[in-house]
Amino acid sequence: MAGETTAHTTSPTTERADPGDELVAELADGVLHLSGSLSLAGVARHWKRVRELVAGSSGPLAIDVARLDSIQGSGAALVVELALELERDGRGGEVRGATGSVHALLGLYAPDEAAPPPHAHELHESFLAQVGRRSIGVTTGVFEGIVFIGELTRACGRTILRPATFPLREWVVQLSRTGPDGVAIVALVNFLVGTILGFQSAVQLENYGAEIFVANLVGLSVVRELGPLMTAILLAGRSGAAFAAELGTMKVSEEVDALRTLGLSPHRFLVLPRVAALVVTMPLLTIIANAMGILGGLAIGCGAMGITLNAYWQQTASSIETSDVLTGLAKAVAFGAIVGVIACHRGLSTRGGAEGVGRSTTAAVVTVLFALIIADAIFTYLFTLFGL
Amino acid sequence: MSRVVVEARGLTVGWSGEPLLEKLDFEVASGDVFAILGGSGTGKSTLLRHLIGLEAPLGGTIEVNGEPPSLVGRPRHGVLFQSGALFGSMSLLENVVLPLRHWTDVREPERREIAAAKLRLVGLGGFEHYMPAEISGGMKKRAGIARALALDPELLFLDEPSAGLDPVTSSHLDDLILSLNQNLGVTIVIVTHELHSIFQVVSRCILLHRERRGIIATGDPRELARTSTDVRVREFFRSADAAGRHAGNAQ
Ligand SMILES: Nc1ncnc2c1ncn2[C@@H]1O[C@H](COP(=O)(O)OP(=O)(O)O)[C@@H](O)[C@H]1O
Ligand SMILES: [Mg+2]
Repeated sequence: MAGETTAHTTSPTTERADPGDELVAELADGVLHLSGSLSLAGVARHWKRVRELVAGSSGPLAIDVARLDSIQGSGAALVVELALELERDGRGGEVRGATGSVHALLGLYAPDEAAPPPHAHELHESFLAQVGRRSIGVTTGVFEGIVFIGELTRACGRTILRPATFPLREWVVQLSRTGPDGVAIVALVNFLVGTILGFQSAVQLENYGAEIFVANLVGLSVVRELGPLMTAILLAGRSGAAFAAELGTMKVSEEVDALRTLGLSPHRFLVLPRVAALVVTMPLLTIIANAMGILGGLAIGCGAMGITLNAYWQQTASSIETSDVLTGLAKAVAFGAIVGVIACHRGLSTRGGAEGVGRSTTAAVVTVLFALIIADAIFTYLFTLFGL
Repeated sequence: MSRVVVEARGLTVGWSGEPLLEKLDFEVASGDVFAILGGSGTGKSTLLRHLIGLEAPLGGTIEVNGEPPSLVGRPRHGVLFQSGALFGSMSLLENVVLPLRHWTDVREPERREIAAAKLRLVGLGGFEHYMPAEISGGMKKRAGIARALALDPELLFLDEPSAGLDPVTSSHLDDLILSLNQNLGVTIVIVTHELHSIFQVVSRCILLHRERRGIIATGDPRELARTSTDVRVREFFRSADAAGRHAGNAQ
């Protein structure tokens, strides 16, 4: 062990870099000398090098902390951890030269003898769904709604400026909850809607000998209107209610407050990933809904009306234009945002205890349904206006 | 010579315009273990929520480190909520890792080491992978303290840290609070009922009174308990004592 290595990296690359955050590690004659500052910032920049130094050495190793100017809890935690690891590996790991506050801190973080045994343990999602919320006046409701949209917009803006801060993991979790789990119900309901439409129109069109137009009627109604709307209604019941209940529970159990005191915005970390998930899953589910709706109409047209499969398909294909599909999908995106924003807003404005969560869940679903119908009317009007 | 860390001047706090506590004046000096005492429902938690910036005062001013409390940016103090307020969808370890992930450049392996050490510090070694729903109320509080300590704050706000704990754990927690204060110089603002803790760790306190809607006593709790002539103050220390013993017996 003659070699001497110096791991003094002076690279003030981070924003928080501060001359007081320098940590110098030197390895000489089986002793790791730490000097400078063992603060969180120092650790962030230099601990990796310390680890590499230790890993690159062999034989007994002691840790000398006599020349440390300052130390924080996290630094002490890492030193203690390193010492324990060296001891486990049979390399000693004695910590020397600790005095004053360094000594006190290292002592504080030294493990107790009687630590409870760790259990092998599966991680799993805990999903609480409870109840309630005090009803709020319409005016304060509108005001709070505007504030909420403002906060959410700000969160979006920050995420666009710094994409790395997007809560990706949470988004992925929400994607899988709102998407795949909803496929079966969306497919089934829209198939049935297709058969109902097909049957009703067939009865009428038969009088004129125009059975083949069942394909037009079902195809266009489903793609332009019913596919997106039915899917949004189903998502309001499933995901909207779940969002409101989840965020409501977090609100009444002070988790939202805890998040805020950690300097983390609930809009960015809770609302944004949920809304973003619905904005993606809604059009995807709507594509499935459209296909199943057309299939439902086809089942009636071909099964009950005697139209050939080929004729029905030709008729459908010729009646639906790309713009029909795209306007439907544009609606789906907007509906997804509506469900997500309203449900999260209701959840976060939950007041009172457990029964408040129930109230905001109910309120979320009712408000979302109302908003969806209004939005659909507006869309239909606008699309007609622009001849889409 | 010690610096003022938290300062309230003419502070009025309450809910929806209704004051609970009016015209409070007090200050917490650096290095204090400062207790907010008072009967249940006097507004201790409400006051704490104002001090950390979750609610805006109805009147008066609050300064923390010379500025109005803010929730923007890296938090400079740690907070333990009365309920613990752990994130239910994360394990205890992840709860403590979260602030480190967002506010430091520490790499993931070290973040986990630090978080595990903080959990060990509050006596939760071995419970890193438990979910909050799977542990007792007292353990949630301790995990909440570990999370509050994640960023090595110089100021800690603790809402009833030892309520609901058995006497042994409770006195461990008192030791931890003392140690944080004496060895690390952490300033601690603590809401508590536990007379044992009050006399063990608290250096200064304010005693709040519901009907008076304000502070009825300020000072060293031992002094107050011994020398106060105010019948309400004597009453508080006597009933807290009885409640403490009762809780102790019940365990
Ligand atoms: N989020 C809230 N909204 C409205 N009133 C509240 C809220 N939280 C507490 N209060 C009211 O404030 C009063 C004081 O509560 P709190 O500060 O929790 O008391 P303490 O912590 O001293 O026991 C209680 O009457 C309670 O009803
Ligand atoms: Mg309280």
